[in-house]
Amino acid sequence: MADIQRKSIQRRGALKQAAGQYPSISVNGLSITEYRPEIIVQINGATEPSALQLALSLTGFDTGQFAAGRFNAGRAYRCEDATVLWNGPGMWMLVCEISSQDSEVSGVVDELNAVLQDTDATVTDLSHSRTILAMQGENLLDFLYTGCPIDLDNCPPDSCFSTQFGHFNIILHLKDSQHANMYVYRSFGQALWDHCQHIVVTLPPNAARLQ
Amino acid sequence: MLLINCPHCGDRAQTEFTYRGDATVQRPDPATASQAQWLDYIYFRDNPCGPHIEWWQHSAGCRQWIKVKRNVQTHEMLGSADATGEIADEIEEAPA
Amino acid sequence: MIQQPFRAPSGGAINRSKPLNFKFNGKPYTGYQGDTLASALLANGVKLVGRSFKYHRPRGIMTAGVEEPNALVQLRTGNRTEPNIRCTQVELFDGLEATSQNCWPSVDFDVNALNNLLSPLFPAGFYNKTFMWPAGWWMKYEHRIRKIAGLGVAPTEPDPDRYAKRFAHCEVLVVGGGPAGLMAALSASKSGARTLLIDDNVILGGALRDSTETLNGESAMVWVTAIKQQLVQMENVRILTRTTAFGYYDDNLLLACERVGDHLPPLEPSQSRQPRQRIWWIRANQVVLATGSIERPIVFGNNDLPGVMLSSAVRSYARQHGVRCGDKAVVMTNNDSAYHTIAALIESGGKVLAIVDSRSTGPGKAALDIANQHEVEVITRAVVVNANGGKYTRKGLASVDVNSYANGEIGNESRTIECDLLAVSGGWNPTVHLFSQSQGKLRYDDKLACFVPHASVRPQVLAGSINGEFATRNCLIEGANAGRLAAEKAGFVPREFVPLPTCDKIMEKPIEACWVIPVAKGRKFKPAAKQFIDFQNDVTSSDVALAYREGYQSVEHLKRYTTLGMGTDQGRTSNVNGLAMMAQLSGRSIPEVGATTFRPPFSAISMGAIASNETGENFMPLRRTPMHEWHLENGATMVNVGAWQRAQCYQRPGETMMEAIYREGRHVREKVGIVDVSTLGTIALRGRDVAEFLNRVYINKWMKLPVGKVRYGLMLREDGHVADDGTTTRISENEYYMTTTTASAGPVMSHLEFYAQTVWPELNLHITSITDQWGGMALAGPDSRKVLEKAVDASDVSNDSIGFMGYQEATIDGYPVRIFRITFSGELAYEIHVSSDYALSVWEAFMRVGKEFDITPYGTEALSMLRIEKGHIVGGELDGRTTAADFYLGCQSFKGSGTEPHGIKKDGHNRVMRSTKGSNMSEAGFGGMQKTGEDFIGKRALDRPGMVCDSRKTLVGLISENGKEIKRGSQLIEKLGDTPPVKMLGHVSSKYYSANLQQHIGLGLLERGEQWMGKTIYAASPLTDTYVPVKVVHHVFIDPEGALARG
Repeated sequence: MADIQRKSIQRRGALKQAAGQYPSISVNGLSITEYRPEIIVQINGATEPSALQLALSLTGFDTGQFAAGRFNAGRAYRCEDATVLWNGPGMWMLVCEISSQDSEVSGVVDELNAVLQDTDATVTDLSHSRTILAMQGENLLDFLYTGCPIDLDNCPPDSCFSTQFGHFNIILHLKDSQHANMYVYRSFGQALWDHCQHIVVTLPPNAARLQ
Repeated sequence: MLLINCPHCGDRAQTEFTYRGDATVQRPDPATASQAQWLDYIYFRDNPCGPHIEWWQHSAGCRQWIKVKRNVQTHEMLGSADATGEIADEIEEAPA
Repeated sequence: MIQQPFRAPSGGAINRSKPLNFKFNGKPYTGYQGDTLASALLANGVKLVGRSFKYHRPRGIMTAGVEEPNALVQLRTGNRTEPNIRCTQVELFDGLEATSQNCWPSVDFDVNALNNLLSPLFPAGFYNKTFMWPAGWWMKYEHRIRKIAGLGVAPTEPDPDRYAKRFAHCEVLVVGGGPAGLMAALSASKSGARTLLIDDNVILGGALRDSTETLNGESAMVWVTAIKQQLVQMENVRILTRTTAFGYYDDNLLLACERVGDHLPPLEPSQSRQPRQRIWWIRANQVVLATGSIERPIVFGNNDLPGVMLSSAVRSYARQHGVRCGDKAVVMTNNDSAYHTIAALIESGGKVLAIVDSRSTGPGKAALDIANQHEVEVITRAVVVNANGGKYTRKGLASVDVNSYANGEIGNESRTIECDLLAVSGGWNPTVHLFSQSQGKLRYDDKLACFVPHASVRPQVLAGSINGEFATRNCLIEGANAGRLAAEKAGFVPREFVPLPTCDKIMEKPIEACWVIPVAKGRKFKPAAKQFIDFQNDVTSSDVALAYREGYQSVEHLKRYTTLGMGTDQGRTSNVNGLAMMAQLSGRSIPEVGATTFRPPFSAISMGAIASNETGENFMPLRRTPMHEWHLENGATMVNVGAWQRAQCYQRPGETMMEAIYREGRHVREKVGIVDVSTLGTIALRGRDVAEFLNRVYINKWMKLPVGKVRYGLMLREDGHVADDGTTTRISENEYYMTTTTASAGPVMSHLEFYAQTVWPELNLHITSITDQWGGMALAGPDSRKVLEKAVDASDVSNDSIGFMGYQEATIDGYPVRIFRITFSGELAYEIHVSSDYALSVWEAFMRVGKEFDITPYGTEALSMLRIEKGHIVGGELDGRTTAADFYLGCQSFKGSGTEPHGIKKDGHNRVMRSTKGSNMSEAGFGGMQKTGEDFIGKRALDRPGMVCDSRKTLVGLISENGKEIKRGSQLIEKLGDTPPVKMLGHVSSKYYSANLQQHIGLGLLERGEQWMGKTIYAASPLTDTYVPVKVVHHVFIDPEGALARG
């Protein structure tokens, strides 16, 4: 992959938007906006914590904090500009924002591959494959329960689920009971946005919990 | 709607999974199996009225294939294991 | 005329300061907040509410709940109208409009009441024996019968209301908010477990709402309110009223419908965003079923007259709504509970003339005291034999005939009592529907004369009158225990015990079963009055007797032959009476006759609620490519391909759709076109063992594919038939990039994952779907290289640099792209894949630089035409019955005979067809594709003679000889004029009008296809009476040598 100046070329996401505006929904106490991280990378085969630590050494994670075995299924881990989400056994999705100091992002996938070359882990670039919706509100769980069949009550902070929201397959990063990021395949992005707009008006007004 | 226990993700709704079929069937060695054994593998399945071990894929979740032991008459869930694991008290496997 | 003549001056849980106006059959009435439509109608003295299903007999309100069989109305008008709504469950709101059903011109005068006189012609099962001959007349009168039959009218306009869906999880779900359910909820909640209490009424309390008993020294409803207050304040408790649990599914999933807005006046669409109804999907660790019981009537003559009601309903109307159901009442019963109705009637201003008790031992002491206290005559060992209408009008009760009764026989003593209300109690049936849906087993209890739950299968506890415990005190005890037990089973230990309220201890005399009263003797010259068992479907006791005589004696036959229990009330007031009668007739016990299966829903659910929020555009999410908006802006007609939206063609102003398609298809072969192929599945395979894995899933060889090369692959199923095809490119040493067809992307992904995870887990590789990561476009046509050269920033894209089946990375306008030299159209072509967020910019770049070369976008239709011209196989050919060899992709290539050129000239290009080996990119000029020696999926199945025999159907091209279109799906036959059955040699799998050849062409699968080369056969479509002569040719119509693709 040739070195590229990503700042000079334009990324156009899946959501329709008027020029210069971000699509956003804010109805009945729930607000939804699009989240646009620069990098999403799938790391597979990282069944040993050491493989994941090697990968995360390229990011802002203080991997010294993560003792072996601290990477648990069903959880997400955050540092200032990166999140790593558990997707399945040995499967982690690394989501990074690039700080404005970096004017050049080159071969992230290649760098990760190099760092992992002595392990069984592999890396796939998914930076363009998802549309991500950031949601927050007191009635977030009521909203999620209109389509998500999992028990979301009393979850530990930064829980992570690959599941469904209605007919959409999603990854749900539930930061806490009022904040979440919902990842959907990019081709479904606009459909999910329209669906959220359709649902959110049926929530009880005043952000009240149901009953 | 069944509640299926994915060994990786925990209890999840059936809608997150795709069903395939009998998990006691093993692909014979293509180099040494007789044609009768091979056709048995492709076409013939036992049909027990009771506990059955079956393949499900957690297609909306971790994408892993899992084995689920389920009583096909009562739908009672009797255990699950990952793709290469064993469920306790497994029923006798069909001959390869 | 006094307003609301049957409303007592005080009493009832209604708000008399909030009068509500409503209309019934166009007439205006007034009721109060807290009324149901039924109670308001009764208060206004409206006794006649509808006409029965078959005989059009006048019917009134019989019950006060979900069991109502008669009082069904058409509720609301226009786009909100709903048929078959029970008046007893409609909360009155201001402006409500309802009309009677199944009557014309009015409920008072119904022309079809003629059916009642003709009733001997319409016994049970009459439609099985009539309308047989003449068969041709059936179509003439069937729609007339349809108009006469049926009850309400379906709406014809779209529903403007919103509906919602909501998942919920809890440790303990309590179904039913009566005394047992309230105690269970309170008890469970003390453990900290998440507790959900649902009740289908507006006000909690269950049977306590109709009762004057005291709990803790106060009226029962005061206790209920106190309990509710406690529950509402607990964080771990949620209460849903107006919510009916209607289905019990696997693993303790229950569905319940909450009537969020039904009691509110309908709002304009712009105002009403709140859902009208919401379905709750509740997954509970433990379920407490406290669903109570429903009273059943006794069967006697004319028991369907308006004015004959269930005794508990009379109590409900008096206590809950302050409504008097009649001025002069008689009560008929076989158990003690009906004696409580005496007090309720008198409170609401009525007079009770007598209570008729069928039991041999008469009433219990407490019951007798009530009767004596109110000076009501008690007639023991007697039954009502007939109810009678008035002399001049049969539309309401006027008197009852009472006879002595002993040992199941009518005695000789009789008298007639004039009355306008008969309150009947035949006993109580526990509401076991949800329990039975959960596969719980029932048993019949002789002492209680009802079916009770016997054994649970699911994690559940039962409490209260559902168990046949009819005394309040026992319900409270069972409820408290059930809640605690459920919480414990869910792993939560209650921190404190719930104190039991003190309550009245009433000793009741047991029930004596009394199902159907024998027909009265001594009425020789008058026809016996009909005795109704199922009121809604007009099934009488003589229908049951007829079924028995004709041999339909099993409970399943009884149900279906007579339609007993098949109405919208699902036999709530009729099932047990019906099977008791069948038991009697056939000399069996009731449990021997058995019961039919309970299925969800418990009561009717609106279609809107079932659809919830998944309507209109939200029914199925659409997948869009990165170029979606561009297609719309440039005149594309979009089509659904699975969940994807693809451009079909781009019509210019003044063009028809077919003109656009032909223009696009010609333009690709003459100049250059561009098509969006983002929907194709792409899968990333990484790891040391990817080549070995590909070698096992594809039929051809993969171990030596060099980096930077593309190869076509064919995948088989284990049974040897072709599953899918696509290309795979080796991007770098351990990174491979696989494409599949759009439709197979999901199945292929799962297929690969299955083999990698379960069959060959020892292989080191990882598979990731990247369809959404990449957008794709195909640039095709003689000028495609020129466009590409101009578009790329600084790369060599000459034939030497990137040859046929080659791969190269480059940038266009700074955007990194992957270039694959592959072709679907057979022309010189390139597929360019770009990360999705960049794809539109690259597409726009091509349009911009390609303008000079007259680039045109083309859609799926032109794509179809082009690929058929090249004989490329897609889903129509890969129908699960074909093998690689059928497409000459097996171990040997095309062996056809016959070399007639068919010399189609077009624009100077002599597109001569010769029988050479196939030239579509699949064979790429080599010999057979299928490898020998090594294992691949499907190989062993190919050993079978039927998979390789000569008579298999193989791929052929077809050209219409008479200028007519070849119909896809047509059968290929040798000649016309044979008598059926005609041997079918094959079928047409694809077809198009080729704008490039100016001929109707097609592809087909034909037995021994190679031997038919050059001959004419017929494509037969008998259903459309079309028979087209077709010439069999080689399946590659254009450029059979494949020179264009390789140039």
